[in-house]
Amino acid sequence: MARATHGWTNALFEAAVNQTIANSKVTVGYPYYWYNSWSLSYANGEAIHEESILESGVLQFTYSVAAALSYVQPCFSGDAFCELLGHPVRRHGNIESDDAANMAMASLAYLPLDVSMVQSGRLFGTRYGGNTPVFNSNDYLRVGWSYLRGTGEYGFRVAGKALDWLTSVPKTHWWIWGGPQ
Amino acid sequence: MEDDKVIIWAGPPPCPRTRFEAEVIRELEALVRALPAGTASLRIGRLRASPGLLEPEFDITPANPRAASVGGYAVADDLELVIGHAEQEFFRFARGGTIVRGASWQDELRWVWEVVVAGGFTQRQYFNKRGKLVGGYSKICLKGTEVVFSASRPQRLVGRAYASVKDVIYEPYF
Repeated sequence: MARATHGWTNALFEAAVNQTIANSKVTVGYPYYWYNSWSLSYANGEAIHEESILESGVLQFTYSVAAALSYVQPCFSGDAFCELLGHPVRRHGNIESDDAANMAMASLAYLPLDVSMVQSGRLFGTRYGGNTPVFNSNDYLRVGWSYLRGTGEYGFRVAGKALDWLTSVPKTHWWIWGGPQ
Repeated sequence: MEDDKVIIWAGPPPCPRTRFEAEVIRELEALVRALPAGTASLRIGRLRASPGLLEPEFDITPANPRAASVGGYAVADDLELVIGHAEQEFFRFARGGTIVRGASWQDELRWVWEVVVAGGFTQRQYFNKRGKLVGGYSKICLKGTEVVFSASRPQRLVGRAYASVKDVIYEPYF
């Protein structure tokens, strides 16, 4: 995974994160690395926000998850920057061995955000506009949004041949949210 | 891409991103033009819910109001097809995702079309508490294989499915 490649210093990244935290009164949050850009997913009250504070086009920045986490302030109080479970983010961890765990945590943090993006989500979105959502492009099992012409709305469904054993009706769609109603 | 009485281009034209998206429209144009004059019209446009998207959406409206309409959209190599009020997604339709094993997507689309044009098939339609038609269920037979078109609430994981049902038998196009 790439390290700082564009002259960004630890201090600049830390300042950017801290500024976001200060502006939004973050109580719990998690930074994640996704498609060559850095984002910060955090909770503010009951709302879940996502800030692409270090989008490559804006701040020309590339970091590995673990490397960047090591620049994040530890969790001192309710106003600190913590992992999802409230544990302090490690400031000086083993960068290589932490990558998998960090990516897993980052993915979990990203799930609700992606679902809320409906058609443009990179995990559960539709295939419009050349999008190739990870869980909604598979040939045999698709989980994600689908546009229903009948109602003109998007529904969240699980569908695919892999589910045919569940029912006598092939190609059944299991609507989790929305859909015909 | 001029309008005539059979093919109607609505709004900004779609801009197919894949070969399949373009070929579906051409295939449907040929099917509709092969009908006797005045039997049906084909409307082609962008997705009405999101005109900013470029993928093609289509609607075939028969002159006989008791015949089944056909609609849908193509995106990447998938096809969403709606017959009357029942819809079905055909995943990777352009790459062998047909129901009938070994059939080309053009053949399968034409077989569905022939069933719709011939009429005589039943659709169970579902209504909500306010009497609004919310979905349908049809089972048609293509070369010995059953294909289900359904977008009805009975498939939902939770919640009451519908308030009432009505069975409709669609008539032929001509």
